Amino acid sequence: MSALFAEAPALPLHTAGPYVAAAYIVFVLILLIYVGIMATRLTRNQRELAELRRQVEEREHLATKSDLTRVTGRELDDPATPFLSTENDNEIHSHVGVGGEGAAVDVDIAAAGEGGEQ
Amino acid sequence: MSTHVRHLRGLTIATAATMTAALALVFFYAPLDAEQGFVQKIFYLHVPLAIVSLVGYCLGGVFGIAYLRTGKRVWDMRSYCAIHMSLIFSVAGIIAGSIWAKASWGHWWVWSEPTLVSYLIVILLFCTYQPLRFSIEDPERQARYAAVFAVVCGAFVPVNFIVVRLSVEYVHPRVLNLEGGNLPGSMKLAFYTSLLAFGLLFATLMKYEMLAKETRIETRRLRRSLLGDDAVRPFGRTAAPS
Repeated sequence: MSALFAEAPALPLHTAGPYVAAAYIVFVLILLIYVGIMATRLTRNQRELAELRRQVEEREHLATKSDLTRVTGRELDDPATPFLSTENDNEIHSHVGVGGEGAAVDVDIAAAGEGGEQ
Repeated sequence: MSTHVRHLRGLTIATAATMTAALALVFFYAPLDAEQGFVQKIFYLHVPLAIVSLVGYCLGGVFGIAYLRTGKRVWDMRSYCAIHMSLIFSVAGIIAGSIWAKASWGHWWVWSEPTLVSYLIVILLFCTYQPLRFSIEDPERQARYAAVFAVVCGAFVPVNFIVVRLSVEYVHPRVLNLEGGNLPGSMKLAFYTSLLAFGLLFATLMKYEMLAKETRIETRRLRRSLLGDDAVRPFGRTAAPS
């Protein structure tokens, strides 16, 4: 880089320099303001997406809970009747596959409805 | 990812590289102007900004025609973004030009100069584009009226340019014409690199803006389909395509 500057002609900044600098700085400033506005909008959009994701997860969780309640006839979070600890355990296990990531709960409601009280 | 934001990364890198090359050529390769000296370096900023912004306005008109022909909202979005970016480039161009005028003519603005005044008229004309959109609430009508405006005003831009060129009295220096102009080779290289850099910058920023707007619209659509209409706040009156 220093070699490049050594080869480059000296810029006469003393007279016209401020004008040239002002023109280029104004352009850069306008560009920065624009990028700043865009970044703010992007942040807002990201926040909205995160909120949306949270709401969807909440809804999925609630849906799963109500489906399980329908299958077992008990509340999922009810401590008085611990979940998956009664004589219906095997039946529930046969209908509900608790998977690894994200608790992929696969509820076969139709099958549960048909064979739940065998 | 949608089709119009493809190659965005490549375009961004190309813009950054070309802009760097242009600045290096302008300040370290192109010779100083014999008449104006160092202040002529503003030429490499002011003229590309003006040219790209004028082309952008025409492009907005072309996209407007495409919208009127097809009725696809993506053309309305393109037209809006092209005109929006052109306005930003115009403002930067006119400020740079004003600084150059002060440095070489001693005045910030010369009302008797046809190029300056006609450029200002074009800018003011397109400044009414956003209020026009804002005044119409129905998105369909908004897009249609805006497209008509973009076509008419986009056609005005080259006509205005030709009329000014044909006018007799010039104060504004003419260094470019269809025969290549009177720029020396090194200055020409710096200028055309600069022009390319600003053109790429325009395209990149326009694509980023389109991506941002499209993402916002997608988010709203997703929210509506997942959580229902009540979960989506109404846009209200907006100038941007919705």
